[in-house]
Amino acid sequence: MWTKKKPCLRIDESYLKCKSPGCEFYGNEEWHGYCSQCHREQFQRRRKKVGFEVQHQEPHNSSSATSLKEKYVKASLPEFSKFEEKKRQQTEKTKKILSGIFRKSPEASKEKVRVESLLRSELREVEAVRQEAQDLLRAIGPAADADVHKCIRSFYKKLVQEVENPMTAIEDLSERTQNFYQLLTKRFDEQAMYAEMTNDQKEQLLDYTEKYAMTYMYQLLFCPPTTTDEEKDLNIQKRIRQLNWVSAKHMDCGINETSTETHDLVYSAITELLGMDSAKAPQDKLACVVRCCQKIFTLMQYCVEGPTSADDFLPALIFVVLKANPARLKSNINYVTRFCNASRLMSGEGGYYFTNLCCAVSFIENLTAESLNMPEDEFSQYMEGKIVPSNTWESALIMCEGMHLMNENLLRFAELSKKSDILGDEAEALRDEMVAFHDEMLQRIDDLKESYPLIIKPLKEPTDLDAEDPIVHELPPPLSPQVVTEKPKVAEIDSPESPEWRLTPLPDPNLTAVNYDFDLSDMSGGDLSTCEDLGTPGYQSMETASVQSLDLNAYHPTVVVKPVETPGAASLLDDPPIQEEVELPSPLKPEPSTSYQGFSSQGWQIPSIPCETGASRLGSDRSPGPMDNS
Amino acid sequence: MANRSGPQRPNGTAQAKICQFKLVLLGESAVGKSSLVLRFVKGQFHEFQESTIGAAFLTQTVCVDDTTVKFEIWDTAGQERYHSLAPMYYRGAQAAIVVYDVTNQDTFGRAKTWVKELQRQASPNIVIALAGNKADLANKRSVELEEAQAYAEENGLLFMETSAKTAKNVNEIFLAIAKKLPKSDQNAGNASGQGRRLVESESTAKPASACCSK
Repeated sequence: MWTKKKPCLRIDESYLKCKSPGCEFYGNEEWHGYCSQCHREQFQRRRKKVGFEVQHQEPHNSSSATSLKEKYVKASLPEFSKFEEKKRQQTEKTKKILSGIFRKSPEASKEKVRVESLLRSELREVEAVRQEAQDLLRAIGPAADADVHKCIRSFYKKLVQEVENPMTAIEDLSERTQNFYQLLTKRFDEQAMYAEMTNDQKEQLLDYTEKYAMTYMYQLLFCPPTTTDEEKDLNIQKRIRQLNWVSAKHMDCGINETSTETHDLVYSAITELLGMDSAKAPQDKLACVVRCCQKIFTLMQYCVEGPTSADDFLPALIFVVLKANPARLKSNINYVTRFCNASRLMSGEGGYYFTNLCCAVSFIENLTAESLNMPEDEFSQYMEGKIVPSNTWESALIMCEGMHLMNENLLRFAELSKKSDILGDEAEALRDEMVAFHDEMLQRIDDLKESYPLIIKPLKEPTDLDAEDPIVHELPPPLSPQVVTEKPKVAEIDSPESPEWRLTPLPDPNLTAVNYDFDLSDMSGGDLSTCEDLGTPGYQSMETASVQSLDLNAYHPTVVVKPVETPGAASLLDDPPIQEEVELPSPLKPEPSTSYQGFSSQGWQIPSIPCETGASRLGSDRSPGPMDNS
Repeated sequence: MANRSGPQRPNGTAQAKICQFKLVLLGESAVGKSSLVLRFVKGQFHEFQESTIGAAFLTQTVCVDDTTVKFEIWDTAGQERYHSLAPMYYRGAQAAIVVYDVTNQDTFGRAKTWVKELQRQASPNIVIALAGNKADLANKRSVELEEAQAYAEENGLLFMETSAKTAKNVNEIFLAIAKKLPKSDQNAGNASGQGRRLVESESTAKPASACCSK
């Protein structure tokens, strides 16, 4: 497959290939245009050269150079024996590299002293990392905890040793770090002390290890002086500054530069991206990128219909990177690429967004007139600053932002005043309504008062039939039926008050019951008119009780039988009085019309009427009876 | 690339095998790459997509035989100007879907260049599928089914005409890819390797799978 190469469409194939003549592999800018193998060879050769150069330069250099030389020789001596070098001359390249190395060498000499102090400077943060992970560490148990930290310690001791050697390439450190992650993963899987952990815990522990180690060695590994990261940072920064005229329109990403909402979201995305530089652990930097990208997705929601695809997302990200111009962008990207667990970069959301960021940076680096769809000369004029477009982001931000804000605020005020007007109107309407309601209610109350005048009625009290009524004791003793025989007395007695008056008219003993019945029928008539007042004490008499009981019977079928069955009761209300009147000259005739009271007072003295038995029985059976009736 | 929490646990015999694969979507812009994925992942088409914010990175799981295949779908920007960035996306991908629009001959041409590029530059055992999207617009068709079919056979690609709108063949094409992906433990073992090393180790395993390399 590799041998069947055809010319690439965009870039010449030879440009992509390794710079070593005759090498069939592709080159990589990271390795100065060599493939990995040739780069390594180049690097070894370079070390050798440096050793020689330093020796040669010794007479010309100051005393500090002497110590430097010793160091270099020491460092490079083992390399001599280790590697067999191919002789391929790349003089130009080597010179360039050498100059780079000598520029850095004074720093390298101080390295040893710095390492300790640098590591110490991170101690507090490392402690914070450890604090954060306390739950996890407790969960995995002290043995695993100790083992993990032992691994980390041995790892960074080794790494520090390598870092102290200024000849160590950053790629070696990176490879060592990645190997460490892999070994640790393997260890977690194989060692017995980790056997009880869940996969999640292992993942977390690996994260923790990475965070701990990388935070600890951040100063050594981030933008180390042996690399050209710093130079690249400056280059991209300059490049982005040159491109400050690029607007969202150029990027074709549909961001509306003038709306405040998008401003805010672009700002927050930029803030997240800038935050990347202050994070220390690779995964924290990655998290910043992820957050930045999520902000961009939110932003795109305002600008594009439907969900954001990569077609919209990448231009927006490029735009944000251009506007953010993050500090030490390249260093950060390289640091993450080198020291973040590679599996994290190859997959997952973080990996995807980080890849996008790399793409954005790469796009910015290689930006041409063609990629912005504009004529070459216009592009170059922009780049040289000959023309300044009127609608750039900056001008929108700086010059017009005040106006924008004012307009926005005016609009908001107008809206608010409209709302407050509406509120006032509604409040007034509500007040009117309340007044109207109040009036209406008063009116209705008056109407009701008129149509239903207030009448205070006596309190109703339930009648307790079983209660001992003191009045009963005050009553005259019950009459004996024998008295009835004294018939002739009836005519002589005038006064209705006299108790005997009632009984005298009865002509013969056979008719006693009949007479009582007659009285009762009248009584019942009287009672009916004052039915409501049954409960009042004045009427608490045997008669009323009996009458009640009669009424009650109609409502209670269970007890109906008895009172009705009593011989008197059947004849009580209807025919008997008529028969009586025919047969007997009733002494009662004139009296009831003159005084009604007499009847009731007479009635109290009746000792036993047929209904009474029913009444007493009723009362004992069901005390709430009278209450029902009232 | 099976994930680390995969099947090779010493004491996880009862565990179902889980393989995670990275799948890139390539194709000219506006051929419906993201619609295709949204249909596959969320079962939605344009009208119902309010709830979805981003369609650039999505994951979906499918079951093939006794294996659970987790797709991690990376969308790419289809515009011509971003073409040169594509290798960054398909680096380390185990599968790719090259999408074209059946109503647009140009997009088919672009798809062919993508396929060529993938075969030359991506991981050697990458599974490539060709999807002719918008098959519901048959009356506006300008790329014939036979033409694309012949091309796919010639290049050893999976091929289907799909429609994100009617959901035709959407799940099918992902399932076909899942079936074709190597799910051996050997492959899974290479998972956590670094990009470079991953390529190396995969090229050693190349003879074992002859899915798309010509």
